[in-house]
Amino acid sequence: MMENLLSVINLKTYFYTSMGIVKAVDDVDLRIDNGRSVGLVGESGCGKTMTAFSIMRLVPRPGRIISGKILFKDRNLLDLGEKEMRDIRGKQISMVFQDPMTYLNPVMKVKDQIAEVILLHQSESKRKAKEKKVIEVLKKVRIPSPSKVAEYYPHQLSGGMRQRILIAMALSCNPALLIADEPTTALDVTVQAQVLNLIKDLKKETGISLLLITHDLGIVADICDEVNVMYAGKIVEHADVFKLYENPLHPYTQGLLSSALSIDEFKETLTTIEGSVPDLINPPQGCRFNPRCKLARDNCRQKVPLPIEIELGHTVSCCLYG
Amino acid sequence: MTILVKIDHLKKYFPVRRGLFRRESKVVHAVDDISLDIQEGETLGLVGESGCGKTTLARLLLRLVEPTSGSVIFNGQDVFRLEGKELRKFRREAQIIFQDPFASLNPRKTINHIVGQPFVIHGLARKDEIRKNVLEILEMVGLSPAKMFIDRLPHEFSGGQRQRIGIARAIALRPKFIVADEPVSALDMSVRSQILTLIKNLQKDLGLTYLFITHDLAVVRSLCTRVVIMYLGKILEMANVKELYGNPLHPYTKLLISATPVPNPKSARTRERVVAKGEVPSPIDLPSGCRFHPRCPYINTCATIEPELKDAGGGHLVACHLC
Repeated sequence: MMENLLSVINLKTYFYTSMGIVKAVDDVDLRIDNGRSVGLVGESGCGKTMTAFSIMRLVPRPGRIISGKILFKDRNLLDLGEKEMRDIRGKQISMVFQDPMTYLNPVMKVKDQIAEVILLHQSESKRKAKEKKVIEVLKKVRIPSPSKVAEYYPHQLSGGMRQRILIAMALSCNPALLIADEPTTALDVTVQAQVLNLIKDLKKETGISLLLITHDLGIVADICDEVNVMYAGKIVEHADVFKLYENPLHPYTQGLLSSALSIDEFKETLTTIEGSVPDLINPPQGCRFNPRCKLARDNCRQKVPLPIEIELGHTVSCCLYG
Repeated sequence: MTILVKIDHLKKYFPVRRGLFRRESKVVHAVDDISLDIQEGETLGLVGESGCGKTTLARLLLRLVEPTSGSVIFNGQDVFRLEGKELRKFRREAQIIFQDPFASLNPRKTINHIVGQPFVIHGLARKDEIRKNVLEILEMVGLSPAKMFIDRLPHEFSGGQRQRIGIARAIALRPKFIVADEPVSALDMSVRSQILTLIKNLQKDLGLTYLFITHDLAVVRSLCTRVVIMYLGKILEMANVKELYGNPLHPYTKLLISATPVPNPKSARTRERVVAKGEVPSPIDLPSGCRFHPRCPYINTCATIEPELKDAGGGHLVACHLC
């Protein structure tokens, strides 16, 4: 049995808007063991980013964590004070975002931005942090001529390089968990491949745990050890990556996988999932996927399905099972 | 097969001014000497990374921008010499589906107005007829019952439905040729295959010819008949789909194929990997010789001489010294 690093239990994060309550994250369970790469897959608006923000305790207003537990190294993050939490962010758990330009300060040199993280969390002298540590972390993310790049401003860098800088900042304090939220969505395919390779290599070198949030089933297949599929605020299926792709149980997962296109095969007719993602203010009664599900029965419209473990490590929330 | 669109040595350079007092004058080589035929009834996939000139090429084909040099022959006529009546006829026959269904629909107009506007502009129907036509078109693109949708505003629709509206507008005047500029890249994955199926079915029903622009090689595989690979304004490789995926010749094509994620953990972890050096250079200061040489794993004479597009057998064209 692997050692548990992070357990999210019954997490609920709601947004109180003038239109009504948006149940962005609704009763989510998530588990990350030491050294594992865990994928969180879902479409836009399904709550995957808000799950990550909840773990970091960075949920923006008017959102609030309503209930649940987030156990990190056996401490409930939701019980911590803001000061203790600041100690965890960036040092123990760090995050890489989708659009690197938005998260870099445009008027600060690369070296100053990275040094800021190091100075905040490690007892280094300012000069040493800037001169030695910064170059060290830039080397770690394979930036060519690091001492030159350290003097650059973000606008002088390409998209791929900016993402590397963000990864460098995230890893500068050797955290135990890295949350990567769509880290390559803004990049071109060839650069995406470079960044994904970098993440894979760094994982091997440092043994860090990874929570990878994405909508791309191909990226998950490449990088993750296990996968959580999220739909409309709930996790509908969790399994080992090989098991999930071979034997998906939830009709939504089945639909996603059979509608995904691959360069390896030609499909004459494309499989589709009818309808579109529901709105989370008035989610459908019962199972949230039932209006789009071909196998839906009366039961699915009334009962909210609970997660059932079909076999060891393969859990599904669907009324068709059990 | 007849050729619907013939592109001949087409070039589009955009001037840029940089430096102190903007004295330094340079050009962006957006489309740099492209020749290409599009056959009637086919779906030609145009693949490339951002900034490679694929959208500029599409805009040239529709005469939304004027070229620096070269010509586009559509249905036997030079598109850039058309005037008056002839030009209006061309505008009816060649249409576009845009990438972002949120930006391409006027938020203040009803669907009836948006989809009916082509009829008004071209004076093709009276007001009561327009509504009837729009209802019919909405049913064709799967917005059914159309009566429920026709008087609504774009914000009431989801991304997939909006893209259906964009498609309805494009097919309203029964065009021959449609440029689809990344029509599914802004959509959620569960909705993507719905729209692709619609695009495919409309081609069968209406006898359309598509130029399908995308950066996703997986979509091309199942949708297109032929593929063009573009890089920094030039065609690097062109072949039919089976040939290109079965026997990719250009190192850049191999790189693209290897970089595209495969939704299958087994093959994702076992297949051969080619990793590119660096990123796409600026289209202002182009690399000498072959444009791909700074990133190519196998360079030799490539830095000095630019390779020509040549036939590697069976209509499979490639621009590379090594092939």
